[in-house]
Parts: sequence; structure tokens; C-alpha cells
Amino acid sequence: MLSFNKLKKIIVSGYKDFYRNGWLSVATIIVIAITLFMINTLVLVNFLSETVLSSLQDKIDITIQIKSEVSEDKIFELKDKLEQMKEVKSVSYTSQEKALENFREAHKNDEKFLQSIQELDTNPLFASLNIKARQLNQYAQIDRFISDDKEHQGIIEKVNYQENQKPISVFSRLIETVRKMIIFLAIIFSFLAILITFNTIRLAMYAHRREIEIMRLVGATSWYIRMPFIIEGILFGILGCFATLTITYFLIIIISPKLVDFMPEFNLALYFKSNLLMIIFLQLAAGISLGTISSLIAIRKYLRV
Amino acid sequence: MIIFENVTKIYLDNIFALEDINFNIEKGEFVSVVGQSGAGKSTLLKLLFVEEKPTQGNVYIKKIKVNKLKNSDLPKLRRHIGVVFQDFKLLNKKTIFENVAFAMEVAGNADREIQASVPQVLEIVGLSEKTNNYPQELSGGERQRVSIARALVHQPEIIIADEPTGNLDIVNSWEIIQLLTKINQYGTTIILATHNREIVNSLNKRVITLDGGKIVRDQKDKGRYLI
Repeated sequence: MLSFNKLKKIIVSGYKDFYRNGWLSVATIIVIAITLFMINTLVLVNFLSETVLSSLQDKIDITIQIKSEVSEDKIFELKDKLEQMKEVKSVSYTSQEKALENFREAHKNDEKFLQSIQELDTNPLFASLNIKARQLNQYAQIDRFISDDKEHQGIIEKVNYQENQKPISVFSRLIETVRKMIIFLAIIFSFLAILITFNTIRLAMYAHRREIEIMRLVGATSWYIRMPFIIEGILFGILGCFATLTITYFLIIIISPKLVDFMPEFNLALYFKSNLLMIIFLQLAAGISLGTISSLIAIRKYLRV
Repeated sequence: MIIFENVTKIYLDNIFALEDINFNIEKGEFVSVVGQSGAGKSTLLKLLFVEEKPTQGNVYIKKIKVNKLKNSDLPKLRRHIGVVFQDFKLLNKKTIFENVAFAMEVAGNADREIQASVPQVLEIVGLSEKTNNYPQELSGGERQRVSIARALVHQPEIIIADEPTGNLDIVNSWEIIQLLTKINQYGTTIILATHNREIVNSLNKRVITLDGGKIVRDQKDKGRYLI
């Protein structure tokens, strides 16, 4: 079994190589850091687009106003029918009384307005059904369904369907493009990171070729010979990860307040703080895998042990 | 103990390094392998510690078909075979003690064992005084004795020496050969590849002569260097 002492020796020898290579190590770490930064940006863009889209999505809906004298049974019949559509996420019912209450609440500072309503004998407002679709592009379909519904046409006073979905879909397509671009860049940089780490490790192997030869002759197991190089790769990954975290931290400190001014629900700093563990874990995992994969490739290619 | 059975080794570019080699070596023998450069001496030794594998035939060590061993089993085999080279293969950044200890470290021996065994083997090769020196502070003969100490530290049953005196003057060469003879007297099998006529002739031991990859002579006793 690997004792603590031996593990220490292996780690120390991996570490020695690391600083012996100096600038090459730094370059390797920078490329790994850039790759990890791409992953960070991806997480960030995802968060941004989800926040923006969901806040926009909340603002779009279809409202059916129901004629005053229609019984609630009839209204619920229509509601049930709508709820059965697979495109519909939710249908909420607002009765005439509730509508009036909401109206009063909204204008509670406007005495005159309230008085004028008080003077009316009947409730001037309509009961309504508010429909939310599962996806943005389904509103048109729901709207068509309602206007095709001959059976309930009689109870409908008016259908409000705001046609502001166009900018939303443009935005969501834009986000999708940005996301794809970042994924593409992340793949390219992962590839670069693996290539450069691989090369660094290869040089380390070259520097140790004599030791490796002797190790083999005196009966070192292949894992014993490989370990320092794998450790070196892992070390690159870990340091790359911390470099990225530091850069990200400062960027967030600078950018976050500006974004909050622009869009209050988009609190980047808070998002990072509350997901810090997940982010660190993700970065470490990505960094360590990059480092390990590269060393394993280098070992496979150049170390006949 | 060691059996070569119809061994042929052809390198990639169709060069016959060894052709149909057959011989046995008993435990405790001291065998010199002689021949001109390119006769196949080094290839023959490499087949023993499985640095190379035969194209045809089999090599047995203690009834194990070593050319069929998995890569993961090779380290174990190599701990039973000590190898000594012309160029010593020492690590210049390590002291004499560390160079010898290195062989035990990589094999996973405990520090306690290392501290006990290394001084013993350094004593055998007569370098007790130089344990803390570095290789470049030693003469060629002394360096070769370090590499023999390293080969001995696993208490191997076989020592393979590939031109161990190739870089040494006459006096140092004799010291190395005397050391190998002493180790052989303790019961270790020695296989020595060499060019040195005087050494082979004075040893009075078995001599296998290679020429063009074939065994042309195998003198079991009081062998002579005849090329």
C-alpha cells in the first residue's frame, strides 16, 4: 500500500518539476485558467438569459374577459378545457368581485375615482381567465384555439393577447447563439489546454528520462513512475482553477453593481455567493480532469513503462 | 535456472540480432558472453530482463516464461535481477547512499529496511566511506561499484553485467571482476558480456561465444576468449 511518506515523496517530486519548468508551467496554468473561465462565462450567460427570459416571460400572457352575466359554471368549463391543452401551463380565474377589489387596491390613493365607482350599481369590471403558456411560441396557438372555440365564443367579451413575443424570441435566439459560441470556444480552449499541458508534461518526462530508465531497471512499477507526472498535471489543474476563481471574483466585484442598477433581479454577486461551492467544485473537477487527461495522454505516448 | 529455447530476435528492419539460440544456465554459474560488437550480446541480455522480447522462441527464468509476462508483472521480475551497465546509470543529483536506496524506494521498501540494507551492500562493494559523496566525486571504478551495490540491494539471484569494465582502466576492471567473482561465490548467478580477452581467460569459467547472432561456441568449463 501507498504510505503517507511515499505519497509525500511523489507529490514533492511532482511539485519540483512544476517549478523547475517555470514559465512553461505558468503558460500551462494560464491556458487552463482561460478554459475554466469560458466555463464560468457559460454558467453566467445561462444565468443571465434565464433571469431575463423569465422576467420577460412573466410579462406575457393571454387574458380572456368574460361577459358579465355568464355563470361561474360556464367559466370553469372553459377554464377546464383550456387547462387540458398541453401548451397551457396555468389558467387563473379572477372573479368580477376580485377584479373590483384589485382595481380598488390599485387606485386606493385616488379618492375621486373610487367614489365614482361606488356610485355605480353594478360592477363595471369583467371576470377574467389569465392564461400562461409553457413556452413563448405557444401563445399564438392558444390564441387561435380560443378564437376557434365556437362553443364558448358567446361568453367571451374580449381576448387580450399582447403581441410582444417577437422581441422575446429574438432575445432568446440571441442568447442561444451566444451560448453556442461560448461552448465552441470552451471546446477549442479545452483542446488547447490539453495540448499545452501535454507538452509541458512531455518535457518533464524528457528531463527525467534517465531517472525513468533507472526506475524501470530496478523494478519500479509503472504507476510509481507515472504518478509524479499525473500529480504535476493535477497541480496545473488546481492552480488554473484558483487563478480563474480569483479573476472571476474581481470581475464580479466590478461588474455586479452595474448590472444590478440596470436590472435589479440580476444580482451576479449574490448568485456567485450562493452557488460558490458548486462553482468551485465544477471548476476543480474541470481543471483536474484537464490536467489528468493531458498527463495520461503524454504518458501513454512517451512513457513506455 | 535460465533457459533460452530456440530464441530468434529480428529487429524491425529485418536484421537478425539473434538466430536460434539455445542454452541453459544453472544456478550459481558465472557465464561470460563474448563476441564482437553487433554479435548480439546486448540483445541476449536484454531478453533476460525483458527490455526486449524474442521474435520467436522462449526465455525461461526459474521456469517462468519471461517473454510472456504481462507488463504489470515485469517490475517484480526485475527486482530479482540486478543489472549493471558500462555507463553505470547513476543519478548525479543523488548521493551514493541515495542512488542505492533509490532502487529500494521505487520497489516500495520501508525506510527501516532501506536504512539497514544500503550500508550492508555498500560495505560489500567497499564504499562504506563514500556514502555521502556524489557520483562525480568518484572514480570510474568506484561508480561501477555503486551500480553493482544498487544491483545487489534487492538480493537478486541473477546479476547481468553488460560490458561493466568497458569504461574502466585495467586496475579498476580487475577490481570489478573480483567483486563479481565474490558475489558469485555467495551463490548469485552472474552473466557477464565483455570484450576483454584477459578477463575472460583468467576467469576460467564458462564462455558462450556469439558471432553474427549465433552461438558458435559454448565452453562449459575453463572457457577461453577465442574470436
